Amino acid sequence: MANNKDLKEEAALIEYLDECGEMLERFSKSLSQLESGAIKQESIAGIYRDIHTIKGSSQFFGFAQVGVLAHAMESSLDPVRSGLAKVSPLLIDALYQGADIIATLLTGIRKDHKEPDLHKLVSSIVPKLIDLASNYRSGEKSKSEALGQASSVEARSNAVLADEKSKLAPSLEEKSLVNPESSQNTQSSDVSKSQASEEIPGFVLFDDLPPSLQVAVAKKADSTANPENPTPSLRDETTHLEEVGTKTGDPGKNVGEESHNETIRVHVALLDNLMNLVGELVLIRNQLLQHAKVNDSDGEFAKMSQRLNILTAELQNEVMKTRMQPVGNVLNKFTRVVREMGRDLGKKIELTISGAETELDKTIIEAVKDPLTHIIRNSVDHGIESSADRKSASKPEVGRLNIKAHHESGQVIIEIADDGRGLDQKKIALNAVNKGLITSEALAKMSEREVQFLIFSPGFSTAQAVSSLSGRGVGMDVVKTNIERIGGMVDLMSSPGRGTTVKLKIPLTLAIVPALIVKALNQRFAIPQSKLVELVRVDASDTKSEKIENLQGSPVLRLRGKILPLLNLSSVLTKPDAKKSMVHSSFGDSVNIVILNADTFQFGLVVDEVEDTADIVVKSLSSFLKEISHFSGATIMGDGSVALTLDVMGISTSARLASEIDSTSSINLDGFSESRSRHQMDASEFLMIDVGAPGSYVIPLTVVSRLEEFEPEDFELSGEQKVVRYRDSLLPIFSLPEFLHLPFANTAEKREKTPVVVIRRGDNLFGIEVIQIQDVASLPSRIDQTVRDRPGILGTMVADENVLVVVDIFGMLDLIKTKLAVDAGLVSSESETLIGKSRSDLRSKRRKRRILVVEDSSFFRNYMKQILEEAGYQVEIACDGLEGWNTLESYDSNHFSMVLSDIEMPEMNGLELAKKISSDAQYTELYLVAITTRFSGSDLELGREAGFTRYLEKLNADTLIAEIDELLSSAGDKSQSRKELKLASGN
Amino acid sequence: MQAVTEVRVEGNKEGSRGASKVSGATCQFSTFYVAGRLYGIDVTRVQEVVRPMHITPIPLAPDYVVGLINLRGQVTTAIGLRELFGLEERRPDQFMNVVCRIDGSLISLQADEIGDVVEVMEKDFELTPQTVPSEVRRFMSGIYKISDSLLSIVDIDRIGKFLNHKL
Repeated sequence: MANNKDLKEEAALIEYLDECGEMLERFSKSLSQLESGAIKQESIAGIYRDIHTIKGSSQFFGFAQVGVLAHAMESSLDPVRSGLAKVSPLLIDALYQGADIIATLLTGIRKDHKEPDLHKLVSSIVPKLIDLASNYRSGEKSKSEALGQASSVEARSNAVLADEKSKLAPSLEEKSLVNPESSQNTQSSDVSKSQASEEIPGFVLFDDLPPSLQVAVAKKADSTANPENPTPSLRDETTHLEEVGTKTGDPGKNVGEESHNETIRVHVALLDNLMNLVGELVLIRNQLLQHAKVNDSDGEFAKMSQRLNILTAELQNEVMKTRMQPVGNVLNKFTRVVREMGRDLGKKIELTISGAETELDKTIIEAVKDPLTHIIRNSVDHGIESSADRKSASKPEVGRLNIKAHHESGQVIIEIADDGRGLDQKKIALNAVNKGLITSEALAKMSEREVQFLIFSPGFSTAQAVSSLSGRGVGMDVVKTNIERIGGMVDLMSSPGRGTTVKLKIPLTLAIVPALIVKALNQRFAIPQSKLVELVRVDASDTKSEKIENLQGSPVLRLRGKILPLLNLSSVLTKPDAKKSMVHSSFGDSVNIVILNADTFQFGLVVDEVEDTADIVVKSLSSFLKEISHFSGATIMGDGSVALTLDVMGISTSARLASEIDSTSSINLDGFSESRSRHQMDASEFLMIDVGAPGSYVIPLTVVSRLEEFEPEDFELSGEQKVVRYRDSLLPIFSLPEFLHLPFANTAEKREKTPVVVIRRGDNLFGIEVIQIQDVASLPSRIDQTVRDRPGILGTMVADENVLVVVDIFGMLDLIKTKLAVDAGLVSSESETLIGKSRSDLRSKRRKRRILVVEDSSFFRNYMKQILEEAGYQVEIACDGLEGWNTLESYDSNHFSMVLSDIEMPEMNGLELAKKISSDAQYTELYLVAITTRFSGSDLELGREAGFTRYLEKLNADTLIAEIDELLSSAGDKSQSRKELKLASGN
Repeated sequence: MQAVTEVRVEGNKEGSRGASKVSGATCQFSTFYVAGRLYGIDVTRVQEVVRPMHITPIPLAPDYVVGLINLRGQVTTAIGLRELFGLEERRPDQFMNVVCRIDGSLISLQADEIGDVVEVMEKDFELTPQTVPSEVRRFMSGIYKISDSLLSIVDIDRIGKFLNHKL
């Protein structure tokens, strides 16, 4: 029996705590609205009543500190409520503080069932609150009047304890008023202590009574106190609602507050159970439907199963909804965070929240709370400048912070945007290097975005001094890992001086995932749709469609100009020792390819069959199976069988598609950073070929047009030149070993087909005959040019401890052409005359010239820088048009003599850059040269319109230098040379 | 569901009860056959025994991980005892599943045939003889002599450890 009583007490206490928690939350929310002026004076009554209820029930349970504090807060609100005073920031601050202390006390009570000792805190805030109350009064009316009024308010609002309170409230106020300043701590704590015992005799009794009597007291108290409590709060709710409805006219905004009086509190575990059971029910339903389909003779059965189907779907939907909560529950808390941080830091910040009604699964809301807090603190602390700084930057003094939430294709996007100073690239870079997160070599290769993403690296924090607010070095990396843990993604956009935007992409729910069901190895697999980009079906018979270019060992798909690595799911999921039996390189007549997004890049997954989409419930695998990174879990399908869910990241990593560079900055969002992934792929992809000689040779993939295979009988001879008929013309075929005079491996064995790398140069195509095309590899694109023992070799690279030789395709073609021309007696050698010139003379001339290289591919960027610097020029680099323009702007107008710009670039392309430069009067003396791998007549035309003087080829070092020399030596008549746009290297 | 019958291995009911009082305890084992040999698992560790079910293979997993089973909505990992014990003989077409919970995850151990629940006396326990091949011995805690044969006791926690360490 005693147990039973304890339980009842316990239940009552929990009820009390829950209720107080709810009211506090509402109280805080109302405060923030009050502060922004969104609430009219009348509705302050609502706030007032909440705090009053807290006071009442706390006193009932005998929690003196909560009671006293709530009482003081109530008093301080009194003049505002009765319209005698306006809301002041001071008051709001004090109320917030009070609410905090109450929250702490409540947490303590929940834990130990008794109040933690916070007397000091309580007694420091209580006089402040009462001061506030009395100050208003003294401004308006005489003290005595005010006191009288206060007690009358008390009397009105507190039916049960009216007597004690009206006695007590004035006594407290009097004590504080007599000596408001001096010895507040000791005195007030005395006051509160004495109050505690004085005020609530019930409490003393309650505590000391034997358990049997306690119940009686509780019952009695119930009958008296309860009618008082819920009634005003109910009334308050309804009036509050009405006000909101008429005032804002936006019912969606206050979802959290709606229909409070029709809700009941349910434990989350119960909802979880319910969710699981519904999941099971759905599975049974699916099985039943399948059974009904097979046994379709029984019409009645079919009808019933159909009804069951509909009902189950509805039930599932409704149960899902029980777990959904408006994201505003979390977002609205930030009003206060921002406000207080702004006050502490002396910054003026206006926070706007939109889309607070967007709903998310409860567990996900909990999971994003901390990451969001981090991001917002960072924005306020580091992002938004102080008022003075903002003024001097001619920005509005009040900083803006926008939090936006909305649905987008089955996910929720939360954007946190500030208009602060943006990320400081240099500081980030310096910090990252200092902290050893990255080497300065690696840094040099990184694009602007990549540098910005460094802030997500573990152990990174830019704050010089550790402030209490943020900058403890566990910031953004925690954000990233936490968001990724729940299957979300983080992206970041920042522009210096204009602000930073952090974008979170979060799944709606963890429980049910929309997935694509595919078949391979005669079994089904589920792929989460969040990773799915598109489905492509390649028909061998249809020549116009996308084509799989089938290389030994590594097939690729050319999809709208992008080369995507292909993986065959069947062979990925076959153990290496068993793989020999698989014919994985040959595809059937038509191939189903699922294009997937693996963080920073995309790849194609070849599957046997694409079945359907389905909502699946992902169940985790046994711990010892988690080491197979290809699977993220399992799910039970409609027919009752189990299907594995594929882990897209795991598959791509295990197939080593992700390169080193990708993994250092592996944050990405599919939609809006495509430019970035393209950028990276372009930056570092090389075609590895076996030329039949020892050593590994690579060709930058950007110069490769196509990969073909030819039968032996396709090869013909035109004079001594090997050619192949190819697309209505002749494709000259060159052999690398032959050209490089490398020792041949044994090529005597008859090969069925010869792979040929087709290179486009200008309008002409060339074929490079190789023994085997091995792979497309992402490599750090730093080329060591010290080892160039023969023409035709651009330099070497080190990757995975292998030395790779980079073939200088264009240089080789030039040489071959010259050789052919010499053989034919047509010697025209522009370059030879140049070589004859005094080199030192040239060098000293070149040293005075500064060239800006704008190029998004880090390979070409470094390559150009290297060859130009080798020639003697001073070089600066930029990785896209925008950065190029900014670099240009940051110096005097005559700082640079020439801009070498790529055409295809993210952010601002070469043509846009050229237009911008040539339309600016201060840059009339600046030479604009386009550097590109391919161009045609129409490209030249476009380039001329945009303002380019010349088109040069990227990989043609000698011609490049010669042309630049020529252009710069004819300085002065730029206007003339601009007119005669010509092709630099004759093709 | 396979019906399990309780059998007394030694003496009559009273006798065994009396013996258990004297020796301190008897233990019950759920028995099954793998490649003709009798094995037993502590009956309190066995959740249930189920008939052959549809299995979804797990590519890339070791041989002894046979696949996944849908056990009334729970995904259960099936471990082939033949493969685990290195018994490379011809597999029967269908397996019985002895479902246990190891380290919080449901594991279904696949046996050729299910035996009875056997009650043995602790005094009949002996350590695993060294002659037992190590592939099997590493999962055994010992053996019991029962009337007509020897019962090899499989320690499923050792299996759990093996799965997690090895994999």
